[in-house]
Amino acid sequence: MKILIVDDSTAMRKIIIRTLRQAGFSGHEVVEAADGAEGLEKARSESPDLVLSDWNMPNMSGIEFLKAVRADGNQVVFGMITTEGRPEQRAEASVNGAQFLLAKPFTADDLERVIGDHMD
Amino acid sequence: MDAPEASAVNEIIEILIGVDPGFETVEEHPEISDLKGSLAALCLDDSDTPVAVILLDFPAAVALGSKLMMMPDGQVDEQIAEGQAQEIVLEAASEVCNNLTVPINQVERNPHIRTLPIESAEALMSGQAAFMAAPGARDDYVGTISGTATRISIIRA
Repeated sequence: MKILIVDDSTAMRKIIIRTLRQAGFSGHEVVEAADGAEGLEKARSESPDLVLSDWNMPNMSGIEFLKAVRADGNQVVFGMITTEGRPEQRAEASVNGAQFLLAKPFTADDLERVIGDHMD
Repeated sequence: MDAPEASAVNEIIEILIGVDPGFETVEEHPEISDLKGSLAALCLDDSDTPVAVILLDFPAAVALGSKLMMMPDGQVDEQIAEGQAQEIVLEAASEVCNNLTVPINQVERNPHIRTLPIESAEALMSGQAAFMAAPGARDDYVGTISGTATRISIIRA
């Protein structure tokens, strides 16, 4: 599988990759992007199987990125990883086609729980 | 805006770095100028108005950022001794501040906030966070990470 990780923090992208490994998802190809605009480019050019995206990012936010991906007709599995866990934001993510929202801070078990069903 | 209980701060930090730092609130609030090298994340409300800062003294920024990146204790000590943090450590410290918005946002009646990346506390105080010089409220938490005494302050406009 190919996993696209979109976060403006290099540190956070490394943490997500490490947590994927801790959750037992080693060996998958990982592609990184530093904001929603770059994420959209990579979603188009790399055809990922799973997108894990931050919400608050410069240039293009996670929710704008999600809307743009769906506007392309791309049905990739899309999850938001964010501190923004309010019900209205969960609803906004869901309405716009996100499969899940994982609230920070999260453990390997939390990550496994939300993506496990989507992994080969 | 109210600050979270120390227990809520400890819970978040423990999830992030795997150890409970045992933060406790303290009454003593040192001057920002006395916290040499301290770093702070500006907190914005939903109208992008600065309403607070989350300040990490330099040892806290280095220790929290380094442990989040799973660096050995020796590298924490080295950066503190040199007064120079690695770039990835500063990014990780920003992520810690981002995560600390969770217990702040969970406090009933608090405005919803988000953070910007950390920068020099003194620079913030002379710019967007001038309120730091005479804050509306301030809570300080002290604890120990990797044997290093650390301080987190939540300073409100």
